[in-house]
Amino acid sequence: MVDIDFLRKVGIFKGLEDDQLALILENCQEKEFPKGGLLFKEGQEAHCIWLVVDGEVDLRFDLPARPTTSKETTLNTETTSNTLGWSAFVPPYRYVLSAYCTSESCKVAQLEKADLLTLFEEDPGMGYSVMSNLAGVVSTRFHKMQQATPDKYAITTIVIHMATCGIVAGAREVMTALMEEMAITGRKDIHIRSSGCIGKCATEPNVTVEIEGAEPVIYQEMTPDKMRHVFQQHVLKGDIATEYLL
Amino acid sequence: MISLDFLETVDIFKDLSRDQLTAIQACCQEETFARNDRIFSTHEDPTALWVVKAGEVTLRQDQTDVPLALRNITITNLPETMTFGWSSLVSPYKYRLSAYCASQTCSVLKVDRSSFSLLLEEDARLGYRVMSKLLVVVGSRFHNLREEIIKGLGQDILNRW
Repeated sequence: MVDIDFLRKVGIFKGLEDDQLALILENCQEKEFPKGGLLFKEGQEAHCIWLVVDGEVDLRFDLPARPTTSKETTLNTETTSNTLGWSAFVPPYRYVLSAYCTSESCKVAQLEKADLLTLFEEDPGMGYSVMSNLAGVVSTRFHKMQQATPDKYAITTIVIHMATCGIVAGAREVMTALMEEMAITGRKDIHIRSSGCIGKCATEPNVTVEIEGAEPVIYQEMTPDKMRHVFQQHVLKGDIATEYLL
Repeated sequence: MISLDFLETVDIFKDLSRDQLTAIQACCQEETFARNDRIFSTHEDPTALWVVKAGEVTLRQDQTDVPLALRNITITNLPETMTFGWSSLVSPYKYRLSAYCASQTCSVLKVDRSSFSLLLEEDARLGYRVMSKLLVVVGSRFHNLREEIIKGLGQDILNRW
């Protein structure tokens, strides 16, 4: 049941007076969804915001030709008094995720953007508070996303120089050791590739580690054991293995 | 002195009256940086909102408590008239990213948080207009970040598929 007490707990209405909350209450439209029910779909026009009154709602994204039913495509789970659908206030005003009920059932309150904008024009103080709070909600989610998924940003490339001189010196064995290490870690963000000679035939096998934001590091006279060591120390922990540097 | 003509081109100050822009003008000062100079870092107390006046600014994830491979990741590059450092006006008031000069030099507007916040509270209509525009900035930045994450997650899932 949506009432003033509930609205007081909603983050985006923090700081509003009861008479302001009463105006918002008049515009709330309650809805109930069964487990698995779709509240809104990615790409739809975002014409309202949603408040979770009871239950849980997952925010998920779609992949081509696959149903959006998997937990692995869930970015956020929203619970009571959380707000969904702030895309209604941000161009291009389309939902960028789909929202599904994941509890046995869920109750939500829907607020039309047009109704809210009318209220804000009449009472800019209310508009200022709600917009500030809404920006705070987005900011908090921004931070949560930064913290929760930093590995999505790790762009690391390991280059094994496999020209004839490198292969003769043992580059294939180095590559095999690297692939074994990769299989153990299961990291998807690390890219492996081979390339030609870098003009340092006397120090082959050479390996370059490129981590975005840092200068490339070239290692010389690599062996399978040295490769494993570099992978563990430099690639995974961030400490350059200075003893093998070119 | 920052010109009103420039202020009215700034993304979060569009459609404001000359009087409102004049009031904002009093909260601004101009600063210049050279390439790779840090304008602010995630560890600093956010005392200002910033606007690119000339040149380019880059926003990076620059936390030192994550492995080297995860540091210095560029989230976005900002051209002229774009706002950054919005965390100074938004709860919990902590910079989320670090900002660096990305062009040979860049000139930026530093909008003092204390005086600007006071102005927004005193003139609710101005506050409402500015925060509505700021929400668009924050939301767009969030969309960019989310797109990158979805891209990464999608690739991971499709690779395993």
